[in-house]
Amino acid sequence: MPTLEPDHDILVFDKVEATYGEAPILRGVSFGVHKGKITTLIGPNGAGKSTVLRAALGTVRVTHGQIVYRHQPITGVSTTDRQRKGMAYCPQGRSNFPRMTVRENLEMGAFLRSDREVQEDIETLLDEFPLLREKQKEFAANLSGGQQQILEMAMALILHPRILLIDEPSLGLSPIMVEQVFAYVKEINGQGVTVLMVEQNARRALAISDYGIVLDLGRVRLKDTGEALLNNEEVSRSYLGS
Amino acid sequence: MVILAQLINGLATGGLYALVAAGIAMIFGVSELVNWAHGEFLMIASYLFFALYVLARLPYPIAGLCTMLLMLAFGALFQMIVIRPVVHRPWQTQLVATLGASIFLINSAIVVFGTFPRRAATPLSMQNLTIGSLSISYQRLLLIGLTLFAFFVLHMFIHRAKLGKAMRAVSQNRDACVAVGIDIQLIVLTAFAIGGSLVGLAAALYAPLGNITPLMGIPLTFKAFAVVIMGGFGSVNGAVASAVILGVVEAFTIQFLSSAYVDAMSFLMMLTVLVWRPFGLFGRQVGI
Amino acid sequence: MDQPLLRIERLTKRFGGVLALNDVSFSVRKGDVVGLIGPNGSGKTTLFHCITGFLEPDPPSHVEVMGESIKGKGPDGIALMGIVRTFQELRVFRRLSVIENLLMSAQQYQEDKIVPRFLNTGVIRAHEARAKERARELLELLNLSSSAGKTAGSLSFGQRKLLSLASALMPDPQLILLDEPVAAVNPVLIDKIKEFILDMKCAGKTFLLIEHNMGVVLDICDRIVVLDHGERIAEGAPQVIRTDPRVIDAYFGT
Repeated sequence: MPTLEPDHDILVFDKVEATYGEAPILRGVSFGVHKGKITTLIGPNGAGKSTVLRAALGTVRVTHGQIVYRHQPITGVSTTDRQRKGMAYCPQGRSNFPRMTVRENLEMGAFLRSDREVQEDIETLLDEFPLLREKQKEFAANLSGGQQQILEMAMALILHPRILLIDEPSLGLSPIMVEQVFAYVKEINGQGVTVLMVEQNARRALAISDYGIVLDLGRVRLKDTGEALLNNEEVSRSYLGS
Repeated sequence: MVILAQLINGLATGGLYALVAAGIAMIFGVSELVNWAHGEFLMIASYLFFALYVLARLPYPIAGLCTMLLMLAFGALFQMIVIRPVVHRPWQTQLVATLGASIFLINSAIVVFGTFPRRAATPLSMQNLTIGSLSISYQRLLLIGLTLFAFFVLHMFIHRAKLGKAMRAVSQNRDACVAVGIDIQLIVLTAFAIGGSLVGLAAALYAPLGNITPLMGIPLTFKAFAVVIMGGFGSVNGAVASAVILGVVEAFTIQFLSSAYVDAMSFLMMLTVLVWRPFGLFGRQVGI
Repeated sequence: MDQPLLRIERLTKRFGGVLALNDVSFSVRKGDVVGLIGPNGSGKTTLFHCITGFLEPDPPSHVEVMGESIKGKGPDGIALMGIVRTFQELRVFRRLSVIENLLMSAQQYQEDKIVPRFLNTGVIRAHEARAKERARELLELLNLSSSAGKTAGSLSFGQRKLLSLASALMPDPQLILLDEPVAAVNPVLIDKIKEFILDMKCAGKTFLLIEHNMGVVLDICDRIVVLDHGERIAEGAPQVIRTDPRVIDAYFGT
């Protein structure tokens, strides 16, 4: 049966199941990601949030169900082809090349592109992120944690993505940097990029999100607007903490 | 003068070790597996050179170039046939795969060429440059010069070319490679192809100076492996530098002790380095 | 005279030309929970490395645990003095199961008792039974019970983070150093971890923790030390630190 898929959803999960080793991680996950909006996945550790992002990107095998991206099922489409079709991914933890310069890191971000405008786009990005311009000749390892996170976001943006899959951008950052990173997420979204984010800093993340999805034990428990989830007492008690 | 002559001999031997070790280090850097058949790459390349130069009578530069190109293809093919199926297997499986390939290559060479040593002397290997009492074969000088040039080209490739940069990227952070869309298998294939062509060059330069036998690769694999460990695993520059040091140390061992101690010397050096600097001569930075 | 559990004096560490820690002094009293905060790259983790023997401090540094200098001890010797730590990056035994990981860290004080181990004497059996009990309790607390038999490598990042926290709490140390214990941890679980740390404090344990989650730091720490560019820029009670203009400027933002 064809999936019911509202026009405004850029990415749709339809009863998606996925395993890691032998353990089932996703047990029939269904939801849609509204185009042009920020959607945040929250839930306990081990709920399968990161796996959702990896399944979308195609680095985790989907055993049942299907994922529809821009109105096309993408089962069997390779990860690099998904990236060429506008999916960008920032994994959890540090995901840059520590002994390459900031500029080289950005060039690697553009690995899938072979057009001549890459250097121009890097210049534009360096204008957008002045702190990266300042450090463009330094090794990524010499940047602070927050600067590295911003570098990784910039690396993802070079592909001119339609959707950014971003896994815990606030991990290990000082409060001042958390604010800045979330501000950049908001800004990227403002430029028309759909964002699907995983965050344990759930209150902060929901505050800048249009929608939130609660994932628990490999299933979607709840989907609502970010604001509604923040005001939902049950959600607060079970997932957001004091 | 004796010392200078041995230094040049040592640099030539070191050049051979460097060309083999650089491939092992590069392949380890991007794939985290040790290619135990890398010495056999040199053996195959030497027979290829023999076939092209002695049997087919191609001019030396062309036979050499063809050996390099064929070995480039051989490296790529080896990755597709032997390595790709075991990429996601544990290291033990990978070890058996490359060791098995090495045994297969040795026995294939025995079947095709027999065990009788072959020679592929060039005019250069028979002429010596003589300055006073110093006498060095032109082949060794060519070897040193072209090896230096090859490493210069390799360095430029790794630091300037997109694919070369991607090789460094893979050796530094594999997860990040997935994120930016670098196909790791393609990069591993590139490393094997480059490793193959470096060995092809080594064969074209070194085969004229010695015997070509099916078993010639085995001691080289171990020497090169020792060199890679001394240089800090996966570091190409480290491997090249330790290869040159080892070549020179061996040459002086032959001169001042006995050629019987040569192999003992290289592994003694490796042990000393491991005790004194566990992360290799050039520090703990792993990567191309 | 009350002797501090951990005394750090003029701690200095240079990397090449960079001064990662510059003359940092403070001490931690027994039974205290002390927070170590500061911007990314301010030297917090380097400080942990220096007091656990993973890095050698430069002169004139002096670090002592219960009056005994740690100089020349090495990470294992310092661990035997009763200090355990967690790491920011994950260090678990990926191919062992979760419960095996925990039992492994309970073993660290028995290495020299080879003969009784071999004979599996009553003492060892009792010790193992206690360790298993403790492991189950920790797994229960950290919502990992259902994963006890899974290999550590199959856990999610956040769960491995929790496992390394549990591993640090397994032995019976004097001083527990935690490097961002609640990063990547679900907020509801963070509340439970906070309570657990306070329970252990009541039982006489001492904590020094690096954490960016201000909810945790301000709620459970008795004192807070703030580093910036390798220097101690402030030290005091949470309420004082919260309003210190230098700290707001360098760390909290407005």
